[in-house]
Amino acid sequence: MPSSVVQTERYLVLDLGHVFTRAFLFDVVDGRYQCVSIGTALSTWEAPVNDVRESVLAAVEALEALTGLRLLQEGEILTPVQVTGEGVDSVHLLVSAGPPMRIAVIGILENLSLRSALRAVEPYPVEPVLRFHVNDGLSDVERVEQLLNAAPDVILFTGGTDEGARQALLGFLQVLEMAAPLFPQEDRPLVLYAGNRMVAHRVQQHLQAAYEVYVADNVRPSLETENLVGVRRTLQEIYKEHLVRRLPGLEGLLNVVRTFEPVPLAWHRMVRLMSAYHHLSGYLGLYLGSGLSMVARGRDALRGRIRPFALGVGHGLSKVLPQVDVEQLKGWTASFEGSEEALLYKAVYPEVLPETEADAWWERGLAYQVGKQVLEQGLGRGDRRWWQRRGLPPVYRALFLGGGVWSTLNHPEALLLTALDLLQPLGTVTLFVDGSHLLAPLGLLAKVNPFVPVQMLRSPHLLPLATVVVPWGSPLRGRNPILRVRLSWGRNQHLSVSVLPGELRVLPLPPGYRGELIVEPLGAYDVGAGRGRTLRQTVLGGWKGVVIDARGRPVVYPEDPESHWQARARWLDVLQREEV
Amino acid sequence: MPVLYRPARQAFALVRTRLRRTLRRPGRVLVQLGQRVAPKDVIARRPRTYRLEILSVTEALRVPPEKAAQYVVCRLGQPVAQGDVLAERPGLFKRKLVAPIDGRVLHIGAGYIVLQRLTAQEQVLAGLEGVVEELLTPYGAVVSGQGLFVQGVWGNGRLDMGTAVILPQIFPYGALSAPLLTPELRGSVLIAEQVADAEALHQAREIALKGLVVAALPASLLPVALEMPYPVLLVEGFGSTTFSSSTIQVLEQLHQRDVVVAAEPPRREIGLWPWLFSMHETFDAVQPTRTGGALETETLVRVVWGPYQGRLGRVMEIEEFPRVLPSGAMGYVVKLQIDDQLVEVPANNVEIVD
Repeated sequence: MPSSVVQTERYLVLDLGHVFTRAFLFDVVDGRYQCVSIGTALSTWEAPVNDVRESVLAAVEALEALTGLRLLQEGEILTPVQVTGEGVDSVHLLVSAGPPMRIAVIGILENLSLRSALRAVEPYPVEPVLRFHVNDGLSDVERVEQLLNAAPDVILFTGGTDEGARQALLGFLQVLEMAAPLFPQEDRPLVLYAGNRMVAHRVQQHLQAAYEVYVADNVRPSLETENLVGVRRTLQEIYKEHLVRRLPGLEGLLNVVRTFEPVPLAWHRMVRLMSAYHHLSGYLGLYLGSGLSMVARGRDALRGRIRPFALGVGHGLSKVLPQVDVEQLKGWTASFEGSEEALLYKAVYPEVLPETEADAWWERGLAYQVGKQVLEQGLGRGDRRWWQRRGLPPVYRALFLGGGVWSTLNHPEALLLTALDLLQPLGTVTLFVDGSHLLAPLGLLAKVNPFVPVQMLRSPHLLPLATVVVPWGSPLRGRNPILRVRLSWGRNQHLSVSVLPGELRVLPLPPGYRGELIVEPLGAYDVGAGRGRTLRQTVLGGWKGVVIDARGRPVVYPEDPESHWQARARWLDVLQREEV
Repeated sequence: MPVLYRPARQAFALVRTRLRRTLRRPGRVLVQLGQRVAPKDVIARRPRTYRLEILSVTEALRVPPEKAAQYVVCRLGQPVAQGDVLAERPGLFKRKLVAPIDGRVLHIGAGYIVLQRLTAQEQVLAGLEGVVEELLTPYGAVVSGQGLFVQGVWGNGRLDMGTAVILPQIFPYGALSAPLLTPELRGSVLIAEQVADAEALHQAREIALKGLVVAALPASLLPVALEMPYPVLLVEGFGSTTFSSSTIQVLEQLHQRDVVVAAEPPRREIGLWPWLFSMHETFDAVQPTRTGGALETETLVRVVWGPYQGRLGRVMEIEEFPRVLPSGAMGYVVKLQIDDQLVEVPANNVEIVD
């Protein structure tokens, strides 16, 4: 039964990426919202065009050709929907292209205001280039020098509770005043003040002659309270302005756009919504794009964080190139050679696409290495400590993968194997892959009309790739079964298997079906219900059903490229076989 | 037909080239509109790092802050040498404030003078002999010039000029080895297909070569190339890639001509790639260069990735919609005529050849 639709508008969501610009059309079909079609164009923010509007126009034209619906009139997006049924009601914009915003962060105490300030900027594609606090041991002159050398786009100035410290704040105010005339006129950062409210007026008065000054609510109104809402709202506006200066044509585009959001916020919103909908508390999201990557993690829909980085497997590759292990990369292709040159070409031509299956494996190998670096930077301190101590990532119940690297959905086994090796999940985990790039557009529309993402939660695009069961906690040894697994679904369909150590098994569960999974550990293994305890869980069928990964943790491949490739090919072959 | 913009790769025997010569962040533009420039003229500059010296006029002259300004004898932006007088109070008890370092006056006010130490400058050079056609204040300018222009893929960050020399043993086919680098080549720009080993790069430094233009270098030699004081320009790419036939036709006209090798790292966002330029003034109307364009049928392209990497082909068809490639990735596909073969290549993996 289709649920009722309160608001029935037709939405166009534009996504400006480093390589592709996509236009998503959402409309009500058969009583519920659906993504009608996706138009794609090559992005034009770089030379030779240097105007984002060209690729937007091309993507919308592609959408028109696919749907037969007129969306443009004289080169402009047709809004609102006409009596003839043509056009869209509103246009919404996501951006991941463009350089990150360089930000200098000032706080009084490292563990209070500075930490809150850093958390405030966390969801935005920013590059923190400088941090000052009262105990940083720097003189005022050194701070001025560092500010000039760091050339930030924005200075986030925080510190003091609303009734608290003033003197230290005024010290930093003096540094900013000293630095103001020394910045080249055209390269002067703007200042966002989000500290002690009692000093806000004075800060504004002193700095507004030299800087463009924004004032937001204090990030630490009291020692016990953190308030990031106001500063994030202002930061979003500042980030938008930053992009307008760096992405030619964006200013004109914003005139027709109702809502704007950077991709990380929208993507994370949808990840949270999906983990809540599937009752999967504890999620990890890894997004790997051409020039933007991010790590999302949280315990539930309310408590989560996202950290974007200006790294990637294309435009952001040059930043991680020195850390890429070329020898290991050779083991991802059958030819085992030429990886150094291939990496250089990829850095020079970041927009190229893998053409053959061999290219795709090379790219997955690159994604594996870049993904590891992004995870290392994006996980929290506690998670990182866990990983270092055990050599394993923390336990999550849902894993989300996004970005261009993961959009090769016609090879689900290859994707699954790469994801398993990269994320090395433990216990019972549901793995989602955003192959259609729909999470960010739906996350953005969640703010506009929550019916859209909610009604699309059961769309085939948002089905899991697989539910993965990984026993852990004790070494997987011996020749006897370590798990007994029973999966039942539909009308009297069921499957029972015993799993030996070192095995990888695939149990079919058709996409969209719900199955009852019972996993009984035959030893002190943890499969997600506690050590030695039987797991009973309802699982949602995905493209690869239920996968039992008893290869042990961590999964280690041989160092020799040829043996590495053979081992991977063997596992891939296993993943292609389903139990009957 | 979809509009697919791709960057252009250029090799012209005679062309009017327009280059955006800009800093990445704002600085000072040092040229004027219409000014003639030489390849090594500085177009714009900004300090690479700031080192400051903050001097109190109030304390040195023992005057109140509001009166300090009247005793300052230096001007904003003025370069000063160590010992130069910056402020002076005349009278019976004469007092002076002198510059403790070589530097530039960055700020005067509130009883202070701020000196900026002279540190390395980030600067952008003209890179060719030509005219300033447009000012892009405060970043730089557009410089245009007429002559032979060959665009490359990678450079080691250096720029220099010299007389081009083509040795038949190494052009268009052959590898440059150390024994070929004799002292007579001092000051020249050598054009070769490949470099045999690191020794050849070191020997080129010994004989003070002014530039090296090659089709490609293996990845193992790039760290050595980065250390060399002379420009190293890779025209086609990396590994064992050879010169394309169209590039050979242009390069073989260079022998004994004065050339500039601007082996700068590529800046894709503004469509700037490293280049080789040799001026040739003419009154004839000359075709201008472009940074790229839309793919059309009959467009000549070069494949930059995948099984046909390095091959030239002509666009025969552009598919209407993107589709899933054998790799599983989704993209627009163009059909290319490469020799007598019709092949399918993602549009992302080609560049236009002008």
